[in-house]
Amino acid sequence: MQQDNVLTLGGYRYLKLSLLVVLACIILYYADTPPIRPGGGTWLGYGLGTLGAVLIVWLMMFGLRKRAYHSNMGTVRGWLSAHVYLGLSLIVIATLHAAFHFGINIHTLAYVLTLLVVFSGAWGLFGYMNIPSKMNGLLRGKTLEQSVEALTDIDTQSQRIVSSMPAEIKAAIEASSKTHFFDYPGQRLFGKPKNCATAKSVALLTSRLSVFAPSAGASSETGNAARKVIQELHALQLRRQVQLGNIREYLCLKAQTETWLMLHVPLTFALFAALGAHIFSVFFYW
Amino acid sequence: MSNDHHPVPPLVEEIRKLSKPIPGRRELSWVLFLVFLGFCLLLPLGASLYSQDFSKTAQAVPVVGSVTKALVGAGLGVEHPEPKALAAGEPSTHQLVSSTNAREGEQNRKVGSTFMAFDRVWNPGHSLSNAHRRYINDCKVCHVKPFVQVRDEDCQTCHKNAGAHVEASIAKVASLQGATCESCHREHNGEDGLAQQNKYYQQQNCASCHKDIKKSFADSKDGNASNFYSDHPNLRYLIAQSADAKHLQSVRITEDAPLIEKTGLKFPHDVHLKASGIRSPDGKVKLECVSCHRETKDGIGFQPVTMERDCQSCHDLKFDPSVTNYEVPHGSVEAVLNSLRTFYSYTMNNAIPSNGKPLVPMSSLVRPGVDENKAAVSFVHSPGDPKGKASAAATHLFEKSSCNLCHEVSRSSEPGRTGSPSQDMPQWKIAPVTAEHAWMGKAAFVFSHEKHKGGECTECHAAEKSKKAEEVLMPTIKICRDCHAGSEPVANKIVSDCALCHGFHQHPAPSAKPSKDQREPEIIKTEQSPVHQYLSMVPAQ
Repeated sequence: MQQDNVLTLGGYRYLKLSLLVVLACIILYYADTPPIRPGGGTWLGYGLGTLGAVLIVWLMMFGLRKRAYHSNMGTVRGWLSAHVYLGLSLIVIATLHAAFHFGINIHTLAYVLTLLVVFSGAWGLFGYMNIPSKMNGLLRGKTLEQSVEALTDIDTQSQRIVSSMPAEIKAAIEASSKTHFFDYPGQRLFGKPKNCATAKSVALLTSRLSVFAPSAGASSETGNAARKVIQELHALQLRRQVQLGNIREYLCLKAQTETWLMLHVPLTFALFAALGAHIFSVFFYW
Repeated sequence: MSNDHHPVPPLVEEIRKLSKPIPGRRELSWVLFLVFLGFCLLLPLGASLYSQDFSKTAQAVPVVGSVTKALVGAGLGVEHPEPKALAAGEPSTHQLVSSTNAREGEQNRKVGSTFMAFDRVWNPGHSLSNAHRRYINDCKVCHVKPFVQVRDEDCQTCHKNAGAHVEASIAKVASLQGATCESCHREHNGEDGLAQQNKYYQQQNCASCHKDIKKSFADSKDGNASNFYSDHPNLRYLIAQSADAKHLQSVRITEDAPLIEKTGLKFPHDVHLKASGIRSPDGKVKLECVSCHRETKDGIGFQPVTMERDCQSCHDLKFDPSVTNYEVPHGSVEAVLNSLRTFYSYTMNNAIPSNGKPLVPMSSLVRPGVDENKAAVSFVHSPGDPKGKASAAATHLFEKSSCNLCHEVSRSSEPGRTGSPSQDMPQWKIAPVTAEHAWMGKAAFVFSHEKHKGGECTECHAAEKSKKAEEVLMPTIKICRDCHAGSEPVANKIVSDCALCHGFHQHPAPSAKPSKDQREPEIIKTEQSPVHQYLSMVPAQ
């Protein structure tokens, strides 16, 4: 039996809970007939605002819970499932609290930040549902370090073969072995290096192979031997190129599982400040 | 796997670095938290507290030097704190009269803006009402005490004269306890005035007490009201208890008969509004209501009817058939007698004044409704002394031809005022005419004749059937209900909740019409005395 994921956990327990909350809010909102117009200042407005604020604080506490390894207060998976669904319900709760009215002020700022946090969370959730399966195939069950060791093995073999080769090829293989995964750490967020030395060495060896091709007519003993060595070297470098590409792809995907958090968490703290100011100002100038 | 003894290959080292989580999330969180806290909370709070503490605001605004007592917004009794800096183009009506305020120069809090108006970012979504928008950069004008909802005294700092709902003696009604300005007037709800917004609160809230008013307040003299169309007592009008209209009594009308107010006048509306028309010097004319009742410029009420403008073209005050270009003034008895006495003395010692026109046939001088056979003779041609002629003309004028047509005239045994030309003449008394006054004290706040122009006057005021001036021709509730429903919709009628006609606060009523003693007294000015008028028309001989 397939295990529940974050969304289906407990037979969609938290989805049902969230839908119930959202439905109740919508019914109350449309049943309520405040004298002038709905808004944050009516009793329902205060109620929705309180619910929203309590939810935000609770959602933030997920950050604490997931670090509290010894805690027995529910499973982290359960918390995450509730975090996702209740976080999404905040879109409706906050909108009804604002009663669809927005302006240029800190109140709407808090609302916008809420939405940004929720949407960045949804982006993260989408990543978590899709990226890990892609990552697994790339390393073929190996760890990152094991994959890197495979690269160094290739380099060792290449060094041994290349000792009798012309200087140009020697230099290419040397450069190939010193290739970085990325030119700079942040590059993994945006793409891959354009000038990969391994790719260059593969290209060089490919062109050399065509010189020694049987159709070229140079079918001598020495020719055959040289061709065999180059073929071997070419195969090694090709493997290196594929392996390197996979590792880079893996690192890119891994980075993608983290970039959304670079928004989700800092924006949450911005929201926390704006929310505090929102609540404070409303009661300061009551 | 690399061992600790061997140097770590560069690739392994790089991959270890890349395997770590992306750095900076914690730092970025702190930065954003602090930045938002600063701009959203600390700066506005600092601006709010900077240089002006809250308690000063509460005390200083009432003693603002440049304050107007102009009643802005239909007598709401507002006194505005002088803004430090008005928005460009905003009219400063109260500055025009500010110098007349006796408290000019007193301590003046600088109303206008908190420090750089930082706390403006706290202003919630909907804009302030138009009247309050000038204070948008100074929240503390209204929000006087932090963490306390705007209190009544904060509103009354400016709205000093906003009357209570009921008199202080009966304000202890339980249902009115706990009600504050803020219960009904919610600011930050858009440009509509707060009085306009207040209407949202009226219907249900009014009915909650007025549906069974005795239960809410046992001593109430009001009838129950929960819906104008189906549950509302008939209307009450103010009836003068004295001729000067200083004592008015609120009397409820019934559907059976009109209310009666003593007027001191005889005036049959029905005769004047005859569909076939009435006689006039220019032949038959058909009078309309507007022939005499002319609207005020504001479209709310009507100008007072005056003898000179509205009556005299038909009801002239000529007194002698031989003299067609001379009338007595419509003034006091003494002024009339003086005029006659002076005139006949003049004719005794001078040639009979004539403007050259032939004597007018008697019939054309007969007033409407007077038998032609009983028409007057020409006193100027009769024998006798000036006093006798003047007395005869006066008797005819007061008792037969003119005054008594509209007024209640009686002989007076008291002598004329010593020193006046007419002191030796017989005297008369004219019953006082009741001063004009509003029929509904607060109607000018809410009722506009302009808005009711769609219908004929007589649809509400049954003038064409009224035979006596005493009949108050104000409509009953049944007539209002021809067009107005209550708060619940009724086919072909206008939904009308309480606030359409009733205000909540008991403001001092604006005078819908000027009272009679405020008007120019109707006396003849000496430089334009009747004799002068007359003589100026006589060709020099």
